[in-house]
Amino acid sequence: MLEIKNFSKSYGDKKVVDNLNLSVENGEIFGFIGHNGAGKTTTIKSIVGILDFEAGDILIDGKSIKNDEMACKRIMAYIPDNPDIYESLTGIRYLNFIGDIYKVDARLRETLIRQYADAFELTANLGDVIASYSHGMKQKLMIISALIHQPKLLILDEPFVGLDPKAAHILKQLMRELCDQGGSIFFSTHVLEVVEKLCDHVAIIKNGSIITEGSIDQVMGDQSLEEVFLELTDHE
Amino acid sequence: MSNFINLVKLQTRNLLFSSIRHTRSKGKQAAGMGFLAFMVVTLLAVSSFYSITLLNALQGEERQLALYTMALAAFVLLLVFAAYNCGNHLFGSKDYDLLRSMPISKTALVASKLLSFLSLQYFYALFLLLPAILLYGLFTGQSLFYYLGGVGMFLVLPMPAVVLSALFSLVIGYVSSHFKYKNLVSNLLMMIFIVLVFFGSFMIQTLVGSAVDVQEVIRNMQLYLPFFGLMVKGMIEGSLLSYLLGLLCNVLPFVFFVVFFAKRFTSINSRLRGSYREKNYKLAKIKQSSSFNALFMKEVRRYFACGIYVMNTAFGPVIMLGASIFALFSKQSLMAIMNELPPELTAQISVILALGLIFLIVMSCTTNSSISLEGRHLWIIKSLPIRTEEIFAAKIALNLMILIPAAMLSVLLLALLFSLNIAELLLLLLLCAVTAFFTASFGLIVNLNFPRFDWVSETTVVKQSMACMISIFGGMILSGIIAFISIQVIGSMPVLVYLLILNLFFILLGVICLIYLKKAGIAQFKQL
Repeated sequence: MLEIKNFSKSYGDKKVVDNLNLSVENGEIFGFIGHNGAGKTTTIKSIVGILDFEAGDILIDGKSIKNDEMACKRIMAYIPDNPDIYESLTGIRYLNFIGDIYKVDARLRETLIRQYADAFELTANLGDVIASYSHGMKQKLMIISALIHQPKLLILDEPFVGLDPKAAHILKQLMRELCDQGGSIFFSTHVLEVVEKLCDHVAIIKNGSIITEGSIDQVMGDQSLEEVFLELTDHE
Repeated sequence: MSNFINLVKLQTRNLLFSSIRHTRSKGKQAAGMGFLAFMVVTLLAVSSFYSITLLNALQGEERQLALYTMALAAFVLLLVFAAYNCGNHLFGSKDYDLLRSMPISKTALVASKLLSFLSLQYFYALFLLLPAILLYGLFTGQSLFYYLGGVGMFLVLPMPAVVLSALFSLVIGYVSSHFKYKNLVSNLLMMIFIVLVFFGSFMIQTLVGSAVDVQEVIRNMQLYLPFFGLMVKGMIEGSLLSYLLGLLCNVLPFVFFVVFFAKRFTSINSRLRGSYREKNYKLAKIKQSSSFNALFMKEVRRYFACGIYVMNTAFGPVIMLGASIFALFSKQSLMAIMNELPPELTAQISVILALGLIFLIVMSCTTNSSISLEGRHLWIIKSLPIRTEEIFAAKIALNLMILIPAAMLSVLLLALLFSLNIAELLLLLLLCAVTAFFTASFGLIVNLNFPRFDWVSETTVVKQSMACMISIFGGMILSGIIAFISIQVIGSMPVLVYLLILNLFFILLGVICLIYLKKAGIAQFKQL
């Protein structure tokens, strides 16, 4: 579903991601972890087409993000780490905006909005302007907006920040359901316990390069992921 | 005390220098500084020209009226400029939470905000007031006291403008916070306020202009507008008492406002920062629309949600329509004026109308800041499956929506008033459309080349950004050049031919802009 081949990205003279290679299979939840400034968000933004990159390619369902951007974006959804969304719109208007862009049928859209908004207990607030939402409410709205067009690939950058425990639990359930239906998830987080419980595969990035990658069992061995992470990022 | 000074310095620095400092390119910084210098020199020249014209029109003691009139004009413009930004700076600043959590007294916080805002007003006062003070002194041979008094007036005259605009922002904020679409309500109220200010100053100027007894007018200004009336009197007559009384009329309200506002700062901010919450919301039936429509409606809602954006760009169309309707109702007096003009000029009325339309249209550009206004939300349209052309089209469509209906309606009204023939009417209608398209596409090109995403307040982008200045001043220069050429060629070719040439010119410009957007604009957007 997602293939990153020899991906490199620089800002001026500084190379922030160097020759990164990884792949995410259908039905897989892939955890992407690393220290602050390791290159996680840069990689994620390059996958979703926000950032251009000078080397390598990123294929989504076999299509290149460079050459077939629209086709890639149509099957993917992105939730950034900061819920910066249009504060002058009401919640429902924002969801309809996303629904129109992805050409989601009105009836299906209504059903899914109702389903996800009820799950996240946000239905009563959909008529309010987003400026009145708390950080967590904005995060929930963004999650709903990502799910209503039923993406094949979900890209999440620290999705659990700001979510209350119930919402975090619901999100984990939804992530699992999406993958059980054949979709894939690629997400970054600093909450390693979530990675341990949720992810099928994990990669650790340090200073722009992958230092380890594999199934969660392979990477962890008989240690906790935190111990592995600290060992690898301290000693490499 | 050092906290207070640091606060003032920090907030002033942010307000004054952020619009130039942001660009990393040294070339663009130098270009920006050059452009700013050019703008200051031009505005000083225009203000000086106006003052000299007034001084030459009056003789002897009547020349005092020139200084009173310029001081009044300066005050009115300072009030309008302050009204645009005051609300955001006092009640909408993003640093409120941070500053209120620190050991800074409310009085110090309020005073620092007002003083930093005042410093921005000095930039406007520089070219509104300073030339008038200096030129009057030169024309009439004034003493050192006059010039020192002038410095004092320069420093204190913006104060009542700041206080009045702050009070009005408070009222607007309080009223609009009761409504769901509070930005729309506050935009409307702000527009009413600006119209009232201009209407009021127009009435005063009319009274001044038609007055027989100049001394009576001066005495009335001293009595009813003491905050500058008494200071000017003191400066001219060398009366320290009058000058100090005038000074107090400026300073005391400012001090009282700081004290009043500081006591209620927390409660006022809590009230104004709150949003309308809908009770018992129920999910209604959803309608699907096209992606272009979704983008366009997003642009429309974004536009009307930002007061400063609306104020800065909708004024042209409002003036166009307002002036046309006013002209229609003042037909008789207007026709009387027209009959006194040379027939060669009245025969070119459609060209004169065209020049006016062009000027007002090019000054009303929404696209010169529309990409910058995406700000931290840019990731949304960049990550969605939308072609860049659609994004551009939605932004241009918004500008056309603001301009074309108002411009075309104005043309229809003016065509009725001046009995234009059908060919002139059609060419003027077409001119509205092609000029509007050029304005919108040129503004977009400028913003692509001079984007700004790190803003905190929309004012920075809409009024103070390089893209906005280049677009507006570029438009002014273009309409100035067209006016100059028109004056040279007017009378030497048929009116219809000239109107056709104007249309073709703007069609050509529009096509060039379109080609640029397709060839280079899309790539530039992807690099953002």
